Amino acid sequence: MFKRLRRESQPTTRLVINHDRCLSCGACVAVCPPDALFLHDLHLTVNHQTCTRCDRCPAMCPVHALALVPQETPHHENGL
Amino acid sequence: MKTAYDLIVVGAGPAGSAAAMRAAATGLSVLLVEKRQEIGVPVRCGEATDIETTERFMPLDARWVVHPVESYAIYNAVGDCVVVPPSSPTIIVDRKVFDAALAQQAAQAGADVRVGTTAVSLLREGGNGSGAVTGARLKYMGQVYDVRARLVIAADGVESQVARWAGLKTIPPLADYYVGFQLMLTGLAGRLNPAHCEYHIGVDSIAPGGYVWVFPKGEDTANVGIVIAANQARSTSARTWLEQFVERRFPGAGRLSMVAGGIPVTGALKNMVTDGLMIVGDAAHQADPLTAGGISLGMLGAEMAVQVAVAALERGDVSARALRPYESRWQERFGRQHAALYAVRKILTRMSEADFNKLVALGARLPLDTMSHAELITQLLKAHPALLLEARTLITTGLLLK
Ligand SMILES: Cc1cc2nc3c(=O)[nH]c(=O)nc-3n(C[C@H](O)[C@H](O)[C@H](O)COP(=O)(O)OP(=O)(O)OC[C@H]3O[C@@H](n4cnc5c(N)ncnc54)[C@H](O)[C@@H]3O)c2cc1C
Ligand code: SF4
Ligand code: SF4
Repeated sequence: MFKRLRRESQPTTRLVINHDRCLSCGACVAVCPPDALFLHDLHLTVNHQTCTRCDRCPAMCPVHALALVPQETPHHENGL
Repeated sequence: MKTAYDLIVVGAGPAGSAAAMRAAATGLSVLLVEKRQEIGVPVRCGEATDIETTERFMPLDARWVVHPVESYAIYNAVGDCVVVPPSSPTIIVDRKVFDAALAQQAAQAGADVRVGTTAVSLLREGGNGSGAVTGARLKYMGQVYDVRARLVIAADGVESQVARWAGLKTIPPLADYYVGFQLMLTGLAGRLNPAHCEYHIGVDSIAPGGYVWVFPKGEDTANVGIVIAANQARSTSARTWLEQFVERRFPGAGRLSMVAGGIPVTGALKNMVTDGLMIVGDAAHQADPLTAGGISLGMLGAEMAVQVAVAALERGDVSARALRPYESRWQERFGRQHAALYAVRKILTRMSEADFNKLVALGARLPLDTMSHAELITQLLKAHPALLLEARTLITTGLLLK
């Protein structure tokens, strides 16, 4: 039973950043409620621990470099 | 290296440099820090701004003035257009040189300017992370050091972290953000009038909830950009919308640069101060809630903030209460106007593309330069009665009364 609960509370999606597209504009950082996105030296990173998978930042990205994908999706198949 | 100042300004965009310049000119000791290694680069801007505000801060200079804008042509999706003069004299600038020139003015006024220097956190009284702001922790070339200040001004742009650290950041709904993308195109000779800026509006076929602009930078080159409402940007990206426009309007054009960005279009935040801290420019959402132009408004916001800051520092009281007049001055000057512009954006977002097309087609046939505003409005309402309802919104927000 505990096992089931744990599995259910585990996030089923994760945010992926396509660095080949990202132009480091900071638009996504501006709209992230838990402040889980960071732009350091023009390199964007996400803190998966604090990201709530709210799905705001993918809409905000001018070049669609962000997407929430199923947790297990291999990188080359995430559609970005 | 000096480790205590009267004022630290975070971010050397137009708002930050304007704040540093004004404050240093009053004799305050000022540190202006910018995380980028080169001020103004990369450019995130369409580069149109008004002359009057610019001249308040520095004389026009051929190094960054590209040319004046004589008219704006507002196009619908089927090619009709209404030509209007700019509401105030406008120029196209080279933002990279412009931003550097402003920072230089700040330095000449006596501010210390440090590039490649990132503010990584705020120093707080009592050290518990919630007391009055007393300085900033900075990072330069991997080295972290603290600088104390009697006051901090956050001018760190759209992704403002400083305002968040101070608990001032509010995140509006996606419908109140523009998502922007711009290409600098070349090879446009014969397809442009350099003194003539274009706006293209069409909610279904050009830019959902926004518009496309063509701002010429000479005979052959132009900034061609788009903003769309972020809540309508999920299925098709701003970039894709713009590529489609460029394909139709400027097929085969060469591309010199690419810019992305986001802009909050709510009008300025209600809370722009806390104990020991003020925020200005894009960080405080001061950009125009319709056009998203924010260069001049950020500089004016900075000027207002510094006026209040200087008085507060003289009295030795930088509490939120002492800094609040900055918020009320902003509201007095821009509150009503920005509420009206916000309402206009909402109306344009709601209006169908077909209705907008009709409106522009009608406007194109009217002798706009000889008509009074009242005549114009009467004509438009006659042709498009549904606008009557919208007009009421505008009147109540004061646009037509102005
Ligand atoms: C595509 C696009 C087109 C636009 N076109 C126009 C236009 O034609 N006309 C117009 O008026 N406006 C336009 N704007 C808006 C305009 O660019 C902004 O309103 C303006 O730059 C705001 O100035 P600012 O000084 O507040 O912020 P910014 O210019 O963004 O400056 C903020 C600075 O702070 C620095 N910074 C951030 N965090 C830190 C930190 N922690 N430590 C140190 N430094 C930091 C950043 O590197 C940056 O240099 C456009 C915006 C976009 C995205
Ligand atoms: S999905 Fe939401 S919480 Fe996660 S990074 Fe994007 S905006 Fe932040
Ligand atoms: S909005 Fe898109 S392009 Fe801009 S920093 Fe975020 S991921 Fe990169």
